[in-house]
Amino acid sequence: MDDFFAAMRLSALLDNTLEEEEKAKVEQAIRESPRLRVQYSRMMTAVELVRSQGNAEPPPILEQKILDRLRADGTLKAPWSEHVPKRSTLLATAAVLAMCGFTWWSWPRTPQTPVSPLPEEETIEQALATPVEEVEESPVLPTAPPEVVRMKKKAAPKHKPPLPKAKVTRGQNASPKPTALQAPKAIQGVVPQWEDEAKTLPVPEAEVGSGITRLRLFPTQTDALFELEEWASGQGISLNSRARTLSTEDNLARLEFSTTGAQLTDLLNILQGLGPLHQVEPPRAHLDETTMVPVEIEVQYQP
Amino acid sequence: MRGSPHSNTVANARDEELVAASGRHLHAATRELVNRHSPMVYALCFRWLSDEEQAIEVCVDAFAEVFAQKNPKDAFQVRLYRIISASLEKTHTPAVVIRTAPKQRSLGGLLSRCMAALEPEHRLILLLRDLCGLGIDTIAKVLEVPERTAYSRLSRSRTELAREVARHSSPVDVV
Repeated sequence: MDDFFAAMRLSALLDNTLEEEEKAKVEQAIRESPRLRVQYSRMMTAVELVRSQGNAEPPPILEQKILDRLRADGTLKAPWSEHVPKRSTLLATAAVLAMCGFTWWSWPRTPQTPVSPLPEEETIEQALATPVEEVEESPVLPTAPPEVVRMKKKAAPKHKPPLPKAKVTRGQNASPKPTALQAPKAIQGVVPQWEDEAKTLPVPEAEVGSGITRLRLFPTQTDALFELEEWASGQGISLNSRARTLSTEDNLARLEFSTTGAQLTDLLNILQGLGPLHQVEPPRAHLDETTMVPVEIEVQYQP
Repeated sequence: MRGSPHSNTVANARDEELVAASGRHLHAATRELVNRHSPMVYALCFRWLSDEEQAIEVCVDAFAEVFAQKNPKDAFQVRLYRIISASLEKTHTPAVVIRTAPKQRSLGGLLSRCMAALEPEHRLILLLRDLCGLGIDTIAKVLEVPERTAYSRLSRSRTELAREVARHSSPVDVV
């Protein structure tokens, strides 16, 4: 390698940045040229002089002065500020707290009421031993016969007094639930409210003292009317359409026929078995067994 | 944050990681950057200015400027030395004083005289390479010249310095 080009690469040789091939050529040129050897030696001396003598120890205040300047410029925050949230975070937090406070302040207050203690837990045995009150949906009262019901659907009744609701006590020794046709003893003595109203129905003045025995039956069974018809049929009494009228408005069936005194006594016994009986015009006392007596029976069903 | 579990992490972090952390106002990152670069920066300033007060002032200004830069493109080290280089070249102070121990004062004086004889650009690249230890690629970015230009400039600077050392020194000084 030429000395000129080799001299240009002495600096790179010092920094050891030459490739191996080029480095070998430069080293070869240095070995062959005394002038290059001196030049390389002087350069090494100068670089070593700078590296060894050039360093200067910084004063202790240097770092502190730099940090103070950075703090003054706002570039460097105080150490404690690393743990302090930014202004925007503080503002957002304050806003949330204000909203919470306003919500708490505007929330409607409810008076504090003492809470009653919970009842003691009931055991299964206690529950079974305690009688349970049940309310029946409807009292065991007779309803109108089917034909009355059918006619009733066509015309709504004018007066429907409310039904009394009977309470049936059931418990450990409770009796089986009564059926509709067999009134339990507990309600047989109960006089329906509609019976009181029916008792007050006026009797036509023309018929007062006419010798007609007038009876009003408040049956407890739906088939009371059929029982009467069956009894009449058994007695040879014809209950044709003329003798039997039905009033769907009042749930009232009216039977008109004539009986002997003996039949009337038998009829009264049967009627009393069918339900409460109200004698509007009681039979006369002098009736004998053979005298025919006109009888009018009003069977007043539950409205 | 010294002595904390984060100390090792900060010490091992690259400059750019510390710069990013410093942008989030993390005190430790900023302090680590200052700690890492201030000795060499001060040495460069002191070798150029030969005055401790002036060297400290240039260092403080340079760090303030480099931390104030927004969205920088170059590395932190490049930006810092570029600021320092620009500041030193404006001073036009030819004197380079080497303050050394009494036994080495002759060598320091020799170096001071030799450096003072160099052109500023030669003196600067010598100090950046042989005092601060920057690589040629970094020096090229600091001086904003191509790498080959930096190579040739460094070679000429070393040749000039060697000539000056040979001219100003006796055989006793150099040994």
